[in-house]
Amino acid sequence: MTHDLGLLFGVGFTYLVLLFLIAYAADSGRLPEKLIRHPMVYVFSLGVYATSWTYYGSVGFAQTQGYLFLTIYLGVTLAFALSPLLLQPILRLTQEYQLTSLADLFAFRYRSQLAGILVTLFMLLGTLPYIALQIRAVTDSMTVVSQSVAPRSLALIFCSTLVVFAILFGARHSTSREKHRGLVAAIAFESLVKLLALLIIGITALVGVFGGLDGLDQWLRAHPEAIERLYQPVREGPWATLLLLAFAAAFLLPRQFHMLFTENLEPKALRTASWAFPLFLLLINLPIPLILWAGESLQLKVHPDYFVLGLSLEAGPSWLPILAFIGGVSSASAMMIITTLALSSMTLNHILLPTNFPDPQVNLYRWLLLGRRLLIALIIMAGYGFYVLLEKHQGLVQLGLISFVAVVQFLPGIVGLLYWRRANRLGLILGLLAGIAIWSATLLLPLLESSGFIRTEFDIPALRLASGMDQWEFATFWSLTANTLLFVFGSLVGKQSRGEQEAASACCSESMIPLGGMVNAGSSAQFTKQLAQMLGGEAAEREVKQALSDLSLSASETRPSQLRRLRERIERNLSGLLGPQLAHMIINRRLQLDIHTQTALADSMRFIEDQLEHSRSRLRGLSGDLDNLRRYHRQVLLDLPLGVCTIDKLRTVTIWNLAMEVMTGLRARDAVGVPLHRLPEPWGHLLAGFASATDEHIYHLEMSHENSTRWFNLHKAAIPGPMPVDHPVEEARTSQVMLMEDLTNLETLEAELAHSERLASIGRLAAGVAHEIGNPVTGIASLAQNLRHEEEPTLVKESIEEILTQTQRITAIVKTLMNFSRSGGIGTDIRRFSLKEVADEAIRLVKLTHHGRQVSCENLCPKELTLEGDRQGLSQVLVNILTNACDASSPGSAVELSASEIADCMRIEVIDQGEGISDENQGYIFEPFFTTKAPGEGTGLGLAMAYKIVSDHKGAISIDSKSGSGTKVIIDLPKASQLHHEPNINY
Amino acid sequence: MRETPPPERQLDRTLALGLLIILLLSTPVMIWWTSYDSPWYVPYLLWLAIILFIAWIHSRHHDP
Repeated sequence: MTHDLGLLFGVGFTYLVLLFLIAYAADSGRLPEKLIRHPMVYVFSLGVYATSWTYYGSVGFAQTQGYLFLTIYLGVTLAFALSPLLLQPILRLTQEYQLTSLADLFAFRYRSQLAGILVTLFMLLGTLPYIALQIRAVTDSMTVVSQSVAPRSLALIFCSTLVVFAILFGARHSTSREKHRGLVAAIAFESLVKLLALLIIGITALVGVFGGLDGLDQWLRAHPEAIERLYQPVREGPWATLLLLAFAAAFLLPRQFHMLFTENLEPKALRTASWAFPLFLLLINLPIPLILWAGESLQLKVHPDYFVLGLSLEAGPSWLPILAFIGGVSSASAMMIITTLALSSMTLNHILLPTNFPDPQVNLYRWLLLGRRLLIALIIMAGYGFYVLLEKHQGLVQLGLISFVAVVQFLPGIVGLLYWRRANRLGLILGLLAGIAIWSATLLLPLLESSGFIRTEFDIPALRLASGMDQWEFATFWSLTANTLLFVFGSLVGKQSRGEQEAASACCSESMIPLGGMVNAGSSAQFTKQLAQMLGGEAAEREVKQALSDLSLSASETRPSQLRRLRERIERNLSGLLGPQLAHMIINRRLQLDIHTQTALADSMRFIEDQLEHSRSRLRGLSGDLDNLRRYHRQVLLDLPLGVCTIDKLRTVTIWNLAMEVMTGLRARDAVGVPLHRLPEPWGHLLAGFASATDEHIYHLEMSHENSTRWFNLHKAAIPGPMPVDHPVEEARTSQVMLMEDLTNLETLEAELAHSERLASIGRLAAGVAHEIGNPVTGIASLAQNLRHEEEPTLVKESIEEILTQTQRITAIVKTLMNFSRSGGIGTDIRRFSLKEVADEAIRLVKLTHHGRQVSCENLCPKELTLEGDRQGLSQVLVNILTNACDASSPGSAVELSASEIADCMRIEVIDQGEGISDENQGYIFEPFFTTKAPGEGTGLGLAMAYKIVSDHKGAISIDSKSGSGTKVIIDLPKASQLHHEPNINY
Repeated sequence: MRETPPPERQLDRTLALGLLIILLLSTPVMIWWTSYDSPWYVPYLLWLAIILFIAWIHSRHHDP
């Protein structure tokens, strides 16, 4: 059974159109995001590893090398099993620093453009034969299925279609930092197709050829050598070498690196891939022995490399060869597209851009897009050129393994990158050069020689035979040994630059170097202006905006520490656009640093804490315990219900806890890293002033904020810095911690309590008030009645005068009551007043009470004594004390109120001749709700309130009493009010 | 006794897993499963066991 070449071409082309549609549907959002982000889509997209070599070549490989073909997948399994040690750190680096290829990663770590160029050139050299292999597999498969030689023009059309696909769906953006969802979806679909195709062909072999498991068993019993042929090469062949090659290829091949790291949409999907991808490889390889044996059983006439097709033609239904062919096209096209994209990105960043950077007048993004697309076309066509030139008798596996030995040369560099901080560019370059030279001599030259391109005098096969090694063992052993030795030697001999040290720290994540220095440019606008000189205006503006948005900063940002972060961010973003080395060079040249400026402690702290939070490997042992302790202390500080703000010696905020955020309305991210004086008002002035003040405590600070009055207590202390032993102590003691206590709620509560207490007092006075007002009203009524009949003008005048006197008496009582009951907090009305007047008023009020009327109250205050303070508050103090004195006094006794000046104080004494207070009760009488009165007669708040008001005036209140011999209450008040604090703050 | 934090244990397990795979695939242990009377599917069974082991190890790791 054969198929027409035109039909095959049509089917292949239709299949590629289907891929276009899938990619378009994913890119345009027609496929659900959840599906595209599903870990299994990622796993299937990694199936790009299985190329024509796997699809067709594995059977041929198994036929000649038995189970050695499994090494190509078992090595991958080992690499994925070590994912937390190997793949996850690389993924973290590529995502954090926007590195899009292995060349980017090396150029970033070893801070060497040469390293990037070497990696790129070597990748190109090692991969082009592999691309050629894919093209050959597709044309050969057409030949097998159609039984007629496929013209080269078909291969050219196939390549051209792939160029269009890769450009449309793999180079949609000018920067590789953008993900290509459509491409990932299409590649995942291709992997699914080739898996299904191979499984169906495997089932066909089992059922169609052997008639089921029993038939297979019988055939194997009849041909015991079939199983032995599989096992023997494992015991004798280069098993370990191939395992090592596949281990490296699993993540270092350009297509693998691209799908694993560059196109990774969900970092967590890598964990699923660590087992699901090896499972995919197991499933795709399961049918291989069956297909081989079925082909041998049927004595197929085709080369074992194409038993997959031959078997489907011979034993399957008519559609099976088409499906098998589609599976082959899937394998080849996926590999070619992804490899080309990866290589184009490397070539652009490491060869084209450094040698031919566009003029600032040119639109950079358009230039990059055009460059990338041009390179895609060039690379695929170069692969086509290799296909045309290479001799056909090279097996599929041979071409593939040449690429594998090429990429294994990057293994020392990648291990050094992840785990050896001392590794440097000299070692890498020496090692790579040696590896490339030996690879070329042992594998590339023989390949070119066998294809008739060159003739060499080297007799490498003779050397190999003398060593007793297999071709792959020989090439891998010598190239990798020389590479590793020179890598180690160069790293030990050479010195690292500062940039390389920083990159090594970022990659190894063992130690942390905070961002040093300050950017000379002082605003984001200056950043744009500087960058425009190299990138052009549009690109510079877009990159600065992007970085500001990434960091959630505003365009008006001027904080030095934030500008330092902005610089770092722009460099990372540019790295995704232009490659790490070029980005580093542009940033260093245009956004220069003043490295002598001291880094603020806030920045160092933030950097270290960020590093600890995102550390790829958590701290272990004692370090881990210390880190847990640090987290605990930090959480305590953050959750403390007291505002905590710490500043470094540059007066920059380093800690701003949650309570501070609530009190000030300023978020920590806006406050940390900002110099105190640049915090928004009123906090900037307040805290900067307090930091400079000599006072370490400020109590009851009143301030207006957002149309309301608020009260605070402030405290501060110096923090000894972690300075070297020989450092002067004074310098170390420049950091400070400030505590801020919000008293506003307490103040409001106290004011309400005082008001309630006054109202309660008024309630107690009510009967007296009624009596006091009732008497004059009765008098006024009598006088008014007499006036009706009185005609004598003199008597009328006298009566009117008397009425006026009585009404003035009522007015005085009402006024006194109103003054007393007025709401308002203590300290809201500070003024100077006559002490005697206040005492008179208090006595008048007390006289309204039942006990007050029975006691003689004498005001002995001198008229000239004045006091500054809260008049209403002090009136309440006197009322409360006099009320208690009257309550304690027996009817007819006297209560005296006297005042005198003692130095800066005014002493007021209230003396009664009552029953006195026992020693036991004297300890409690100023406590709220303590009363010795009968229930309903007192609230127990009177003396507590008096104590509070006197304390607020910075005064003191004391009792001198003995049970049975009267009580003397002594109040000492400063002459000048201290209710308004005037802290020693220099704004 | 101090409990080992999960990420540390995860790395330890990964290393142990890697060593186990190397032991099975690249040491004289191979002689056992490549012996003359081994059924053809033994390498696949071994491979499947390794995959299940990887899945088990990695499923026990949780993000902090």
